Formats: sequence, C-alpha cells, structure tokens
Amino acid sequence: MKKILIIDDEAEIRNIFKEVLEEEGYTVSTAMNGDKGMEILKQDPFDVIILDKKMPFQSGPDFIRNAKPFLGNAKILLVSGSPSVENDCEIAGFLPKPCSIDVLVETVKKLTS
Amino acid sequence: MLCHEHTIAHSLKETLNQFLDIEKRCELIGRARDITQIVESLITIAQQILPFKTYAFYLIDQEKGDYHLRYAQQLDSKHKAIIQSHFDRGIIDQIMSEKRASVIPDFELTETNQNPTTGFIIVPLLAASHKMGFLEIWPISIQNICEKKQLPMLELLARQASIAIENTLLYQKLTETHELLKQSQEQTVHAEKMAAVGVLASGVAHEINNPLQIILARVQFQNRRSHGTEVDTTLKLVEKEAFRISNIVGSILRYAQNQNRQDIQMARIEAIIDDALLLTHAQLAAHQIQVDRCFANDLPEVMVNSGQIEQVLLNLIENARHSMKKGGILYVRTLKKEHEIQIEIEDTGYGIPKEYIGRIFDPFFTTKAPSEGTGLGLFLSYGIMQRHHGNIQVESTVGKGTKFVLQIPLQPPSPNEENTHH
Repeated sequence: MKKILIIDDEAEIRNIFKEVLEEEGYTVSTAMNGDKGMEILKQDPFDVIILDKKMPFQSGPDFIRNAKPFLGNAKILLVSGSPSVENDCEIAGFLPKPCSIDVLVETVKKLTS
Repeated sequence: MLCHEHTIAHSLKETLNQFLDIEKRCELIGRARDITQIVESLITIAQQILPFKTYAFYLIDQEKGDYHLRYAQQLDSKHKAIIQSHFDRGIIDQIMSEKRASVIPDFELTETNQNPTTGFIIVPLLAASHKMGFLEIWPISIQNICEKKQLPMLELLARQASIAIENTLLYQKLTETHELLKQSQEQTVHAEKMAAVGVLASGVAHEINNPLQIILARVQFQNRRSHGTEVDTTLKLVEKEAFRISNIVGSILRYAQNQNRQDIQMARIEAIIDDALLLTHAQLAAHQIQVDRCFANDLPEVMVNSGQIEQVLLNLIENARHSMKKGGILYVRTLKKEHEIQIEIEDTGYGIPKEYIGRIFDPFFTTKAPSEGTGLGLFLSYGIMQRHHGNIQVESTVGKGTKFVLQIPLQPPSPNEENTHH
C-alpha cells in the first residue's frame, strides 16, 4: 500500500487530489503547510510527497531543504504554475498547475512502480 | 588753421554719429528670431555702411568645423572661384584668426600704377568664444575705405550679428534637447508601467491557477461517473473551457517570465508564434480580424531568446491590429529557406505611406497618439532581430496592407563571427 503525502495551502486541492488518489488505491495524508507536513513525516515514512511550490510562510523548495533529515526514500513531486528550471536534484518530477487528474495519476504511478 | 580744425572736428562728429546710428540699427538684429532674419538685417545695415550688391555669407558648422555657404546674392562662377582661391591661399583662415575685417584689393582688374578701386571685403563673424563664419562683400568701390571708417563699422555690425546667431543656435539646441528629454521621460514612464503590468499579470495568473485546478480536477473526477449522461456533455464543455483558461494563463506567465531572461536556447518558432496569437486572440476577434495561420511542415528549431522574439511578434501583431480598425485578415506564415527561417506577418490594413517607410524603425517615430504607443516598438524589434543575427523587413502598399518579414538564421554564427558583430 503506497503512501502519499499532499502538502498544499489550498484545502479544495488537497481534497480532490486525495479523493482521486484514494480511488486509485493509495493511502493519502494531507497537510496545509510545511510545518504540519514535517510533523507527519517525523511519524511515518511516505513513498511520494506532492508539494506545492508557492505557499505562504514556507515555499516548496524551502520545505525540501528543512525536511531533508525526515524525507527518507520519499520521492518529491513539485507542483508549479510557472515551470522554471530550478535544478534541484531532490525533485523526482514536476506537476503543472493546473494539471489533469489523468496526468496526476500517471505521474504518481510512474514514481511508485 | 581754424578752418582745418573745424573740418577735423566735424569729420569726427560725423563718424561718431555714424557709429551710434549703426549701433541703434543693431537693435533690429537683436530682435530677430531666426538666422535668415539676422542675415537679412545684417546685409541691409551693411549696405548702408558701404554699398554693394554681391555678397556671400558663410556659416561654420559648430560640430564639424567646416564652412558652409548659407546666403548669397548675385554670386556667379567668377565670384565662387575668387572665394575658393581665398580659402586655398589661407586668406580666410588668416582673417578669422586676426579677427579684423579686411579689404583685399583686386590687382587683376587694376591698371598698373593706379590705386585699386575694386576689391573684396571679408568680415569675420565672431561671438565671444566661437568663430561663427564670415561675410565676403564685393563693394561698388573700395576708395577711401579707411578714411570713411567703414571697416570698424562693419566689425561692430558683425559682432552684433554673431552674438545673435550664437544665441539663436543655442536656443535651437536647447529646444531639441528639451524635446529629447521629454520623450525619454515618457519612455521611462511607459517602461515602468509595462513592468508593473508584467508583475500584476504574473500575480493574477498565479492566483487563478488554484481555483482553476480545483474546477478542472472536480469536473474531470465527476466526468468519470457520468458517462453517457446529460451531465457528461456539460462537464466535457466545462472541462474544455477550463483548459482554455489554463492555456491563456500559461501564455501570460511564460510571457512575464521570458521578459526577464537573457538566455538563448534552441526553440520551435511555432510555439512562440502560437503563444503570441493566444495572448492577442481576444483583441483581434474584438476588432473583427481573422487570423490566417499557415506554417511550414518541416521547420527546424532555431537558437533564439524566446521572450524577445515573442516581444517582436506581439509588437507586429499590435501594429497590424492598429491598421485594421474596421476588421481585416492577419496572415501569419512560417517558411523554410536555405539558410534561415522566415516569419511573415501580413495585414490588410491601410498600409504605410512611402515617405514614412524609411523611418519606421527610427526610435520615437510613431503615427499613434502618445497614449497608444511610444514609437519604440519597431526600433526595439529591429535591435532584437539584429542581436539574433537575423533581419526584419517591411513591404507596404497604401490602401492594401503591410507585410513584415522576420528572418532568423538556421546556424548560429561561429564564435569568430560573433566577435565582429558589435
């Protein structure tokens, strides 16, 4: 049972992504910001982290840096409206915003196979 | 004895009166507003000092330092030859440096052993710090020129005229500089506005992405459950419109981003063109302008700064739109040539008059009102194409339309060529 953590400040995005991925058979947890996400990470390991790039207080890339000791083997998917070439090797992939749910599912499947 | 002294006193008084008279007439010169008026007054007063018909007035180009014939009367080839000989023999230079009006007797026309009665008078024009030019006169007679004190009077006159000319030139320069400064200021304000618009557009685009994601994802999720129902059709439509918004937002974000990037990469021109068309789609439709898009099949990628090329395309599309106020067709074509790719932007607008075509790439040249444009679009576009080692050309017929052709080389120039271009 693959585990996915969604970190996004927008509630309805967390909700719909969770519903879509749960329908595909994943176990999904959500967090509204980087700090809450880090608390969850400290308790359990995750396979994929879907992370919003632009969030108030702590951006996606900042979270990656701060949460490094707790990431484990989690693969990171960065969600961004403006794809800029920030070559962070920590990132396993990009998701455009907005993205089709098909694209979301396909990308997550690739990372968890 | 007494009679002689009386004559001298009388003669002195007369001369003094003449000088005062000249000085009063010089007020005329002081009031003149352009160089032609100044020279007309100068000649009129000079002719009262000593009669002449033929003259040549030379002005010095203050930047280049050479002499230009500006005004003349009854100057024939013989006179021109004489002036040329005065230049060649260094006489002009000598008189200008000695700063005195001089008379050159014409020995050729004089019989031997006679005092010359004909000649030329050269009057230098000098303002406080500059040589302004000189006046060469062919007086009716040069007899008694020293007794009549005509040279000092001409010098006095010349000094007034020089100051007036210098002031006029300075005033003209001041007006020009002021104009340039004003345009430059307007330009800066416009650029700042555009930068602010860019920041705003970027912010708005980002804000729109979240609700758009939610709408899109929910619609798609619901669609999975509504196959074959009425809801299905509606949801498919909503999904389509959501994608449309997404494309527009993407174009805006890419545009805002690209403006700041300096990097050049291999890119497909079609993508850049389509982005530009997407951004201008609504405006074109609002003006009843149809877009006729015809792309070549096998167009290779080229090395470009996408943002800058997009800027050029947006400028050309905007100009085309502006020329088709009552609607028309915008043709957008790509063509593959042997050494370059070609992009054509053609409209069916009112065209550019012949007398303007040579100037459209000049900075600040525009036929639009200040609020509509700055006159820098084509100038900047030209610069962008040059930096890409490409080209921008225009063909236009008044009443039929205008066609702009952009050329981008297929092969980026070798490092050697690169160095010689700037």
